[in-house]
Order: sequence, then structure tokens, then C-alpha cells
Amino acid sequence: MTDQPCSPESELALVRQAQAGDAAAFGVLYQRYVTGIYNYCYQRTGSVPDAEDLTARTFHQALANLDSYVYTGAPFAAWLYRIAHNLVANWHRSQRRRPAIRLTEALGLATPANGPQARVETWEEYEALRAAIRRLPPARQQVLILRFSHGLSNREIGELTGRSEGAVKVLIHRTLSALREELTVYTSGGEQQ
Amino acid sequence: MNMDLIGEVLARLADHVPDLEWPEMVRDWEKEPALAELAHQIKEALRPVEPAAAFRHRLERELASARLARPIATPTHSLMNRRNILVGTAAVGSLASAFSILGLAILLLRRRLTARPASQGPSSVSL
Repeated sequence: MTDQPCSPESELALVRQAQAGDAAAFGVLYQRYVTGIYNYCYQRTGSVPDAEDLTARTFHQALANLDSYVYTGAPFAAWLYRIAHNLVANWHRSQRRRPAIRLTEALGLATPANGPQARVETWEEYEALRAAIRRLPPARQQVLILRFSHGLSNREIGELTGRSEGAVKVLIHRTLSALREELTVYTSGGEQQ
Repeated sequence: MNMDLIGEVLARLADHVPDLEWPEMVRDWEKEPALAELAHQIKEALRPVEPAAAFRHRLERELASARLARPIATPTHSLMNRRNILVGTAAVGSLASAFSILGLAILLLRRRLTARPASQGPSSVSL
């Protein structure tokens, strides 16, 4: 979504310039990835203030440790997403709370064409789906967000997460199957009550 | 053959073995209507969000000022500088110790030399 196409060579050159102290080069990298990192943090936490805080911490940490970045063949984004992923994991550990999703934000995400009744029903369905996704192991949440929110291909997700394309494919398939089973249980459980 | 069990084993492996080459037997979720429908719902539920412009600009300014405040010297240089300072201090300390020992030795030698003629005074007089 935000990760604009860029050749690995030109991106590496930008990183080298940023490491040498070129503030403008780091600014370009920031502009390129800020929306993606923010979206990732938001989808993992469900809260705008926490997503902003985690995004800011991701980039501050990236800036502070930029000199330690070593190109290993993976895109620079993989390094950034790893920082964000670890910060979100720490956030979940420290918060130990259910993510607070604001009604207005959620309604903004789900905008069915029908009236208010349909809107609330759709919102409830999506909320149940988001809650189920946030109960998944972090690695599975990550691939779902990168695939369905960022719109990345299996190969691109593999580059970001250090997996093969086939491993990503399997992971998505099994995650979807597990989610479907859980939602079926949730729906049937709700109907029985 | 229990395909679900195989699928679960493959998924567990997928969590831990990033570079394993996966066989073509792995089914494509896009070809399974129920999963494709769920994927569509997930896309809607996880519709991408963008940060507020004010937040983006504020963070950009913060990073720019943090970048300016940050020393340009790389950690390698600062580590080398720190090592040089340590080696230099150690060398100066070692030299100071050596000079102290040498000074003490000279002092002791001089005292012995000055004390000896005084004790041997009468014999030298007899000569």
C-alpha cells in the first residue's frame, strides 16, 4: 500500500546516505514506509493513539540503530517491520488488555450500503472477525495483515518475514482454515444462547 | 490419508522453517470458495488506514531534530576512539609506574652510596 516500488540498489543507496548522516535520505525512507508501519501497528492494536505511539517508536528506534543496519539481501522494510513487530509484541505483553476499538473508527472501516441496522450487524461481524484475528499467534496475524491489509504478494511477504513463498502460502491457508473454524464455532455458539 | 492432519503439520512447520520448499500439493485458498469469501471479509475488516497528516508531520519534525542532534560519527569510530583512549591511558599509567620504580631505585641507590662513605670513614682516613 505504501511501500512504493523501488529497486533494492537505489534503496540501499538511500540507506547508506542516511547512515552517513544525510537527514533528507532518512526522510525519504520515512515517507516511503510510515503509512505501512502505521497501518501494521493499527491492525495489531486496534487503537489510533497506540498505533501512533508504536509507529513513532519504530522510527526513533530505526534512527537510533541505523548504523547497525547491515544489508543481508532482505529489503530495508523487513528491518523496519521487524522492529515494529517486536514493539507490538512488547506492547501486548505489557498491556495485557483487550484492544480498544473506537466505534467511530470501526464504523468508518465498515461502511455497508444499507441502513443503520445493517451497518451495526456488519460492524459486529467485522468486530468478531478482528477479535478472532487478534487472538491468532503474532506470526499469523502478521501474514494476514501483510496479505489482506497491505495487499502484498506471498513472495513479498516472504521477503519481509524471512520465509519462503511456499511457507507463506501454507501459513495463510491454514490461518484462514483455523479462522473459519473458530468463527463457525463463535456463530453457532451465539445462536445456541 | 488425513489431509487436515497433513495441513496442520505443514502449517506448524511453516511457522518455524522459513526456507523449506513446499510441495505443490498445498492447496490454494483462492480456489476454495469458503476461504476466498473469508479472505474477502478479512480484507474489508482490515481495510488499510492512514495516519493523520498532523501526526506524520510532527513525527517527521521529531525525527529530523533527533537526526541533527545525533553525532554523525559511526559506532565503529566511537568504539575505536574509546579504545585508543583506553590504550593511551594504560600506556601513560604503565610509564608512570616504571618511572616511579626507577626513581625509587635511584633514590635507594643514592642513599646507600651516601651512607657507605660515612660508615667507612675511619678506614679511608687511615689510608
